[in-house]
Amino acid sequence: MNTRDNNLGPRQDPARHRLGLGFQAINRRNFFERMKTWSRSQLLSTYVMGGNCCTRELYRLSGPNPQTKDVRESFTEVEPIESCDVLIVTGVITPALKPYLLEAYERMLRPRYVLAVGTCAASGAVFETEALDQIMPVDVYVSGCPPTLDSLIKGLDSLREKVRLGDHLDGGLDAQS
Amino acid sequence: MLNLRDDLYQKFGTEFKSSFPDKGLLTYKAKIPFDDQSVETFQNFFKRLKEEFRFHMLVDICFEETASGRLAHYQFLNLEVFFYLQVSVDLQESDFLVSLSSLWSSAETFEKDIIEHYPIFITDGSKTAQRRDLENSRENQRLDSIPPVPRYEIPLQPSHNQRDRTWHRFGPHSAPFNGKVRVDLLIADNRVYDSKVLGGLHHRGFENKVLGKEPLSLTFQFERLCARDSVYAPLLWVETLEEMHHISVPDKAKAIRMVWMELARVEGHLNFLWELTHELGFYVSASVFAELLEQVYHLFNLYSGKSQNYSLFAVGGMRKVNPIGWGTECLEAAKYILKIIEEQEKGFNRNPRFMAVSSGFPMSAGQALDHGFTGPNLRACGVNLDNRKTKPRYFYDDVDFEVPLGIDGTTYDRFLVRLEELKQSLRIINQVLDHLPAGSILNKDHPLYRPEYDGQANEISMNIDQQGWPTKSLEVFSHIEATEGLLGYYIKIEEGNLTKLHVRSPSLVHLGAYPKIVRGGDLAGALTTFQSLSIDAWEMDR
Ligand code: SF4
Repeated sequence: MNTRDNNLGPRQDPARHRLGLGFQAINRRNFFERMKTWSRSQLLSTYVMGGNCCTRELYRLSGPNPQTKDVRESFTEVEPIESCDVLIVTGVITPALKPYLLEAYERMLRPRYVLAVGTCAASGAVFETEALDQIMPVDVYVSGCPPTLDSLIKGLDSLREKVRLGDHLDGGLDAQS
Repeated sequence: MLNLRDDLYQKFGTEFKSSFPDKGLLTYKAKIPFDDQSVETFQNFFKRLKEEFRFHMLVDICFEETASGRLAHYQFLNLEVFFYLQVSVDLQESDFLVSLSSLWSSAETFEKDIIEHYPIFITDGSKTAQRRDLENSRENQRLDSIPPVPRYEIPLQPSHNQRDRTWHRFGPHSAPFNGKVRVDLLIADNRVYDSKVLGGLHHRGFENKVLGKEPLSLTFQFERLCARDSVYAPLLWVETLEEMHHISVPDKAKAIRMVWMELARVEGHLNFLWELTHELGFYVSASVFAELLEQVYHLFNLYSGKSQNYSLFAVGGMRKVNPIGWGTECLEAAKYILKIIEEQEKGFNRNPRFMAVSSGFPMSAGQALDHGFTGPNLRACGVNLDNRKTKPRYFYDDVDFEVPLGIDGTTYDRFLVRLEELKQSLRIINQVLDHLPAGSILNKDHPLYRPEYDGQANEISMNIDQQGWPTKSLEVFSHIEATEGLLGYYIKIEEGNLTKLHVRSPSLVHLGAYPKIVRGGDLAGALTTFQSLSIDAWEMDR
């Protein structure tokens, strides 16, 4: 099944509310959907954009810390952006970065998940810049300046849970604006 | 030192001012546009500074646009007596800044940075070039309307007689901690013919955002200036404020600040070692260095509850007392790190496999000074310049430590110098913690003291009326020996307001010299050299 074309999670599945569809058909479809989201949530490929001081904390996740073992096993970093499930945005959202963020968001695998790391990306308060959710829908925010390792792990875990449930905000950029 | 000051005074009379023993200020009024003669006079003036007064190092150029005109501030360093000289040039609304790249290669980097951010041209004196520049700008767009954001131009493919060479994109280079830098290389047959670099891709506008703010709140911003460590930048800011207001710091705070500075150096060098060994394929060593890094983060966490952006430094001392047992923990960690580093050193020292990949692109001391290198990258070329020795602050002249030097400035030398510096830093930490002075850590008796410094108030009481800047006009270039070199702030205060701030970042200089270092060399060596210069993109993003 092509993930790209079929970008509706089970929760938003209109088939569920359509008249005339048999109980079994819905169920089978749900099963495949669930299977798909579950398998996707087992190993999530991420792409990190932005930077600034938060990156240092983020890269500690890949370090030899036993605390981060689960994260290391369920998230990988990928290139190119076309094969990434989760876009992780850290640091200051400057006007110069904005077009690149939008381009990356366009090219990601559907449905798209976005994680905003740090106060800068979540609210733009530190350097008085734009917040990420003014540009694209954000699924999980990890706050802190910089966020602690614990909150990062929690954030990634809740993102994984969202992927498993197929619970996303991806309605496309037009739907947002 | 007195001789140089006297000489300068004799030559330039009242134009030369010097209120500090190791710093001087010189003003020069220039009238540059469309006048070859004045360009020559200008260049001759600086040539004399270099040849007669031996200012062999151009540390920084800061460009400033004010209501009354344009100013350029040049910072020079005389390496014989460690005398810093600032030359302020009044450009009087000229559209041109005269290039000094024929005298100091580092000028090219700074000038490139200036034309990217301000609507101004750099001239070497030829009238035709000046006219052409001006006419082009009039045709295309007005000078004032050039946006203050640097534009990246994709390099043109070479002409037909060099058809075998092609441009390859090697960046945005994203080493874990080093942010992003764009690098393009012109390659043929595994040989690098040319390269193009651009840092500061994000345009945070750091220098403009801090204007008009309260000085104490800026410590918070400076902590987030650079991604490599969050100790030197805020500490330099706090020190500058202390110097401006003549605030003294208790002995214990001085000692603890020293420990933090050296821990930051250990962290920075471990980062470097980890990245370099990882890049070169020595994965086992890389994981060992990464583990040591976690030890340092653990120490930071114990003291401040965070592994970066610690919010620890306050004007007049430190915000938090060292927790009980932290010193012991620190000593133990230092012992452990030293042991592992010594083991690693045995493996790398004169290791033929390591030397084969890391001993290309040698650099002489003269070249390094000409490029404006500082920090371990300069010391790897054999120049003994360390601000901790030349201008010791805190207890640096009471502790025993050596400044390691390299021989030919290759990647191999940079690696060994950092390895040795790391050991020296651990030595300093040991000595300071063994003799930690007793007493308070915060001087509360000064106008910039705020109750939230020592946890007596939970909310930050920002008093907007009380700006906290000295009321008299001031011009300061303060600097500190950070992990990778000389970090400096040019600060200008007029009538109690901050009107200009400029950050001198070591990474900008190292990145600017990179194309010249790698020209004509092999590709693998060029990539290793880039890694070994240890460039932090966020420092340049200002
Ligand atoms: S949130 Fe804080 S730590 Fe993260 S990038 Fe912004 S300033 Fe740096």
